[in-house]
Amino acid sequence: MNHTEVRTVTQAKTISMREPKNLVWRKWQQNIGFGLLALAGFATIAILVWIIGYVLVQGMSQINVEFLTTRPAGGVSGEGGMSTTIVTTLYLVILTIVIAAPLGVGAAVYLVEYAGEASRESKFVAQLIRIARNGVEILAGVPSIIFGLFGFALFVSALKFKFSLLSAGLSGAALVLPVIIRTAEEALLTVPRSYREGSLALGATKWQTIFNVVLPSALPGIVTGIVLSVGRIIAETAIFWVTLGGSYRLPTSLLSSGRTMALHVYMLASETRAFEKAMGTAAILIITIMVLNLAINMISRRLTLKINGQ
Amino acid sequence: MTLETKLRVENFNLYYGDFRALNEVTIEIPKNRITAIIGPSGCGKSTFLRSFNRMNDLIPNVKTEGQVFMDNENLMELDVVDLRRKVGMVFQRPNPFPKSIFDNVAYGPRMHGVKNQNDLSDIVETSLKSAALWDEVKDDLNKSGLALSGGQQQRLCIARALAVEPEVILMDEPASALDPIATLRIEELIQTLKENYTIVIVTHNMQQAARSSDYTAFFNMGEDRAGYLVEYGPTEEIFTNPKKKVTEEYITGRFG
Amino acid sequence: MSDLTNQNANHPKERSYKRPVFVTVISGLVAFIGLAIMGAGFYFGIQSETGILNNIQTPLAGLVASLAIILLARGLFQLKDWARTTIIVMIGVVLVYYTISAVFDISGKIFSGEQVVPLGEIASILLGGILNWLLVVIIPAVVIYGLVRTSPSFNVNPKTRNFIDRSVRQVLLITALSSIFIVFLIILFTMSEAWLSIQEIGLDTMLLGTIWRPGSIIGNDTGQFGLVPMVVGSILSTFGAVVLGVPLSIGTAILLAEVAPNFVREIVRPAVELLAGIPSVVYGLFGMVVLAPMIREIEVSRNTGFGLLNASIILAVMILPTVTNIAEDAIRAVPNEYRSGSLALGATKWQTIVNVILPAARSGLIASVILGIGRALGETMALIMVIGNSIAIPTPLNNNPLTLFLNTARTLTGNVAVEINYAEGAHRSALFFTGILLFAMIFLVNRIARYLMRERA
Repeated sequence: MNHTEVRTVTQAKTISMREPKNLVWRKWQQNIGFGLLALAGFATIAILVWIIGYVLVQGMSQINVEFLTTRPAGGVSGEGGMSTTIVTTLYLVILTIVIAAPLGVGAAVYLVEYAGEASRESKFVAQLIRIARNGVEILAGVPSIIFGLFGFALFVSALKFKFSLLSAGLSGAALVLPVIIRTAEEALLTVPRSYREGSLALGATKWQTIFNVVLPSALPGIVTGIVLSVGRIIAETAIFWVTLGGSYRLPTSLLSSGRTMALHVYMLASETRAFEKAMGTAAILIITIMVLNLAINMISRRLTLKINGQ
Repeated sequence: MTLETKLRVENFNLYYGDFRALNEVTIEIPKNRITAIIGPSGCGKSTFLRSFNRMNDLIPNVKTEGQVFMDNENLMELDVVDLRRKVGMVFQRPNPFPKSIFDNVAYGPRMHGVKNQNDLSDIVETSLKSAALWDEVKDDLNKSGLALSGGQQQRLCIARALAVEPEVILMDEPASALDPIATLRIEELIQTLKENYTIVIVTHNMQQAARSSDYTAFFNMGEDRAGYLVEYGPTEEIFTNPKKKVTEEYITGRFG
Repeated sequence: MSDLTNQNANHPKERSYKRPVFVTVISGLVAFIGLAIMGAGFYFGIQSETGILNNIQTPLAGLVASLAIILLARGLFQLKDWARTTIIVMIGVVLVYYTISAVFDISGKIFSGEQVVPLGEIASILLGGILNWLLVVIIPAVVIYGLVRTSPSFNVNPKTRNFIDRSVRQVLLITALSSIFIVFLIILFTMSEAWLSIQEIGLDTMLLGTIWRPGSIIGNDTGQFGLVPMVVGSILSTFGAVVLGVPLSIGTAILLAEVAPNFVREIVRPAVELLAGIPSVVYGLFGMVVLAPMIREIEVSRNTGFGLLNASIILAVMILPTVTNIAEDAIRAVPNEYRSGSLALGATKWQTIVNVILPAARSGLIASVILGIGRALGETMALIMVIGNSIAIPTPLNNNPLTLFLNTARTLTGNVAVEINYAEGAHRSALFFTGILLFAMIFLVNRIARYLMRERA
């Protein structure tokens, strides 16, 4: 064990001798590096402010009561307002959520509450569950235009729903399903085991426990997922371009065509020269999204308070 | 043989927010000796150790009062990056980087400006030899540092610390995560190092402190849960003839 | 007063609860409806011109329906909970259907003209509509309410409870499988639509052909369907987005994870999230209205301001949230011991980041870039608006190879979106094939990213 070798004098001077100069140089490197990072952060904020600011400023000049309550005139002129688009967007959001939420929450409930013991009971079921989870992952990665194509092929053509709220709603539901499943799963996982055990110990069935104890407790998280999906649907264009059509009229039934706000922006920008109207619609869009984001933040804050302050 | 003081602490207090962790510590650590710090869990030994290389500065909400000097220079007036080179640290759990053995040891010198490959090889070899690891790894310095056993990883970390030519080496229970044989090797290694470095070692293992160190400082937790220095002196005295009753109780195993 | 404490689970048929009057009334009503349907079925059968024996379906259907309804009434009379639930659900469905049409009706009236009708009229329409709705809905709603209120009178025997419990489990399993079912449907339907193009045009033509001119009269009039220009467009725009966006994203990620003080984090992180929520059409609009004129300033002939540069810039901003989030996670995941170890050796924080943390986070960082690539490949609308949509393979505009990015192009996604609405036959099928190609590319990219992220853990 006697391998100690005292450093030779020349080596001993190597590092300590370099030190003052080297230190100054390293500190400079750090300052430059941190400066670049700060620049990146600043650029991010600047880009956001520029885009949102420009659209809002340009769009605000267009927004008045008349704009909001007049129907788009269609055609090349780009005249008119955006009244029907607002209502269509609302219809579409409600329809999509009504389809996707029960499916998504149900799937999440199964994956969290039942999957464990089900896989233990039967190998076949365990396989099924693995496939199911994979399915959610794959679905989450599909780009929206593919959902559009799918909706076009299945709902618009094969099932002959044509361009309609129904086709768009079903396609949109497929799009947001993974989002709802993921957030609902997370929300369910945060419910403490003690809640479930307490309920079961009182003689309730598993389903009663889930419905009356677990779901209410996980509700904020689930609602967050749903609000996220709403934001997604409002922002989406490609998928509805191909399933909803582009009619500027108000849909009169589930099988009518229509136009969402985002679609309206696209159609104004690409088929007419009415850029100011497009900016106006875009401004409303952005405001809606920002309000939604705020809602999400408020819900998650309440959620974390609930978990921590318990 | 006159004993030089390498590190001097005067009326040192440390607070985590409002909670006082160290209470009025005053001590002088001699140069080129092994000083052991013993005491029950939670009495602030590690926190105290980390004050010597200002690693506590990385924790938010830490405030200190009093002063620490190295070679009569106030630590707070020195550049902290420079200080940390001069005061090396070996952690409780070995933490080699996810790099090769060579790159682990060469990391320090590289950061401090050594670029020449030959210089680096020399430094790596010397450091590994000083850490009693060279023979075991010399055939494959490109192997990942994480692939070594616990004891070897710790010696790697010691080699890494040695490579930047520190003056002081702080060790926070360096062998506590290791098996007895690896522990023994580390202890022997530390003995060889004291010739060139001032060593301060926190240990839970009293037998280790008794047989390996030159000086021992005994910390205890006060009623306000702050750590304070109970007694400090040559190891032999502390263990055979402690002046405070509390020291004797701790040493004979009546608590802690 | 009947015995309200029925402990006897061995006699599920024994009812020990007093039957509320309300329930009697409702069951009578339901039974009456059943009889009425039976009568109506026979009536219409007799009335039919071809005589009852030739038109036996109507009375038969009426008979079956009425028997089912009478059974329901009997179940309700016997205070069976399944009957109660069924009736509530049936009435509920009818109410929902009616409500939906009422909503469409009311809003149709409000939005009937060019303009929304004046405020006063809105009020009257709304009022009238709601009143109408209430009138129709009130009686069924009362029935439901009554049935719900009398629920304690209905016994639920444990066998039913367990049956419900078990069937719920199966139903939920089916919903869990819905995702993979949808994936299956997507693959099935896009494949079947795309099959025609594989047969008629051929894989090699589509994958290797460099001219996309559906309905072309050059050569024969079957058109040309080479996808190479679109593949090049997708790859180039993605490449540009990565070059512009990744440094910015990773820089922001490092800033957020390692360097920024809290108040900076509070500003930058919400900013990144907000960028993620901006609709792609808004990005496209911005590119059209703001970036295009700016790019046009560059003095190169045939530079329209639209094209790969515009697309790359927009795309870079769009992938920023994705890359930043995952990169930040990867950096945060690096164990603290590495940081302490490096700092204790006298390295600066910057040196620690560059030499220890980033290398340790390498696979996560690469995964973030790859996911960004996947996102860029899948973007459609924003690109259509700024990239020019020309169908030739993009080439540099002059001697400077960089002017390649000033040229216009078309992406795979853009190809689909722009032409799908009017494409027919083999052309349309080729667009579906484009979709499959896209799906395959992105699926591959995501798999690689997931593999890398798992390897890190």
